[in-house]
Amino acid sequence: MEFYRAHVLVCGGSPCVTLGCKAVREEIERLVKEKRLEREICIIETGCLGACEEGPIVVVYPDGTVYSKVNIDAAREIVNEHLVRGRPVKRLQYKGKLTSVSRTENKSKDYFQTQKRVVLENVGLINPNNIDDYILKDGYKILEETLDHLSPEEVVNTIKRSGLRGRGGAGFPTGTKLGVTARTTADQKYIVCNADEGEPGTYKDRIIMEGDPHKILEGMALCGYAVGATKGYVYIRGEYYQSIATIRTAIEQARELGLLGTNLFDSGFDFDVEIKEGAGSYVCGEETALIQSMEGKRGEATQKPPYPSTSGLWGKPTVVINVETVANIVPILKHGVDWYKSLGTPSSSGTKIFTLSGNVNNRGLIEVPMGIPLREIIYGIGGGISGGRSFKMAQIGGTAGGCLSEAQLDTPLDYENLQTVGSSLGSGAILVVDDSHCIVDVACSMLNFFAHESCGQCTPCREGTSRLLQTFRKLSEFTATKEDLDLAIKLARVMQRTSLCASGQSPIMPLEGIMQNFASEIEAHLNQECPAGVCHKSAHKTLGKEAVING
Amino acid sequence: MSLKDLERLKQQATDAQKNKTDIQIVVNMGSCSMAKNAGDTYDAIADEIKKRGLEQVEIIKTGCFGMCESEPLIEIIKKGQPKVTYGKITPDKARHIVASHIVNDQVVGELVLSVDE
Ligand SMILES: Cc1cc2nc3c(=O)[nH]c(=O)nc-3n(C[C@H](O)[C@H](O)[C@H](O)COP(=O)(O)O)c2cc1C
Ligand code: SF4
Repeated sequence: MEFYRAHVLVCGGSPCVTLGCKAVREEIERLVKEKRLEREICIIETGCLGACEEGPIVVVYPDGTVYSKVNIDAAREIVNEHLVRGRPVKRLQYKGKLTSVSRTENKSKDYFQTQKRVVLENVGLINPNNIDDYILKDGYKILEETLDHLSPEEVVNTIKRSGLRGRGGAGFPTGTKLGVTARTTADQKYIVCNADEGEPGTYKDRIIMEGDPHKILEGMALCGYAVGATKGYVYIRGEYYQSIATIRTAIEQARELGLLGTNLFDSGFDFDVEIKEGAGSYVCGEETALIQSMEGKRGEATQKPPYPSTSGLWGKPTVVINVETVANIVPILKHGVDWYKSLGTPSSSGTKIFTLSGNVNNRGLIEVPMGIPLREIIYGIGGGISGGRSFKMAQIGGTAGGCLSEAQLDTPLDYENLQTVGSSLGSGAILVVDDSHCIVDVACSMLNFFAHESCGQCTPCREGTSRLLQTFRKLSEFTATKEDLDLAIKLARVMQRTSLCASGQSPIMPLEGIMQNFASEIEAHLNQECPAGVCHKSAHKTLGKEAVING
Repeated sequence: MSLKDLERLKQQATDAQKNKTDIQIVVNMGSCSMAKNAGDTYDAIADEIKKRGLEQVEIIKTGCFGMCESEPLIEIIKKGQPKVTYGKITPDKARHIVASHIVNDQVVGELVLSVDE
């Protein structure tokens, strides 16, 4: 093993290069080699050290002596005296202070300024594979306190009063859902955490699982206590290898310490969790299809009612809850309902995690209080549209979400306000599209997804999604007529009323937005013209030519 | 497990924290980070630390912080100094950061994403 007894830093920031630091560094290197010290002394060229007027700067460690205005002679003296004999050369030492830290730009400041990390409070800060890190952050303490001081009804009521709504897509009030299962009598009840996350552009659940797995397990145990369930499953999308591994380790460590298992905290309450790996289709994220898949059947949605809350897994009352939703349980019980309601808007409390993708500069994941305007997310946190282009459209909530135009950029992102513009919060995906893309092409890409993911069980969805795709492909080849489009919208409305699950019910959402907000562009295509210059005749003769904007 | 046990565990973890090494390098290793070769970055850091015999440095793996665009992301926490976050750290840049920031206390300005006081 190499061990350097001293490190010599020579600055190489661009102002200094002109001052001759390169020659200084080469001279030091030459002398060190000559004296056969290269295995003991490490010479490093660094960035600017922030004292350019005094350059070239040489710093010698471990003692941290700083030399300024070092010329070739001074370099020789430093090597002979300081490095060989260990006597710093007082005469050449720098008296000021190096300022490199303060000179660095805080590039991520905007990124975090508007964020409020509740669900993500530990993500990226703790070691997810070590339960001690979670315990250090008061992990499992809320579970202990709740088992000790609160009745299950009180837990349900707290969640109800907090106003927490499902973050998996539908936005159903979580407290109400827990209440239904709690009231249903059965010999066995289940908590199923939905981590299938199939919505394009959504990756929040994965990041929570990989960053703070115990918060999910503790939240599930609390739900179990609230409704009287002793068994939990995390249904994780099969491709999420790392999430599966992290959750598995977390379960093992929690079991080992008795934080999962029987008689938790001597309260008589039992709760254990198992992993179920997903079978890999979009529909399997739908709660009834998910349950079918868990039971070993084909992942197809079933008729509701009965809802899983009363008759779910193996016909038993089951709470299906999204990862982000369940990760909100601990913070609510920890900081209280008033605190939680103070975040966000009166009708949508708490925070929401959004995943930014598409043509923005800072693609990634953010957590903000509910009700932040879309503009602030795209231009503030998101750093604006990439490549110097301009904004065209944003789709909120995943493929089933509405398509908003420039005029709707000031829409506050919460359940109510998004509804008024024909969208929904959905899973929290925000796909930003710039003006180089054609709206018809974007629509084809979306419809292709629906057609591909239809499980085929019900005719309106199976046939309808393909017809919709066909019509929009025709439009992109300039062969569609106004009647074709009218018929397509009518068809999408029929699908909305007659499909079994939200997958077939929702294509109307993005389509309506597109038809309303981008009417002139659609009109242009009827007149054989594509303003963005993307579509042309016979574009789709070969399959799958749509814009790849989801990646 | 009882409340006492939990408190004892927390105390142990707190003590361990106190005895923690003076320098920590936190490497984000969520799957988005891994897709951007954070594994190689981690290996480079581990190798550099070993080669230099820097026993007081601890390398910690954590999840993704959310700035997926800037992965691989690493943070340097030195006792008594602001936490510095670096973005888009390739193995070479990681070695440079170890030499410059860890060993010589010189923040590599051009790679910095943020400095938290
Ligand atoms: C086609 C389809 C796909 C869905 N995919 C998911 C998913 O991947 N993850 C998820 O949590 N919920 C998904 N949902 C919503 C679930 O059916 C269910 O509403 C949700 O898991 C309930 O949890 P929540 O109340 O915490 O949101 C999907 C719904 C549909 C119709
Ligand atoms: S609506 Fe579509 S995805 Fe849902 S059950 Fe029917 S065919 Fe399957």
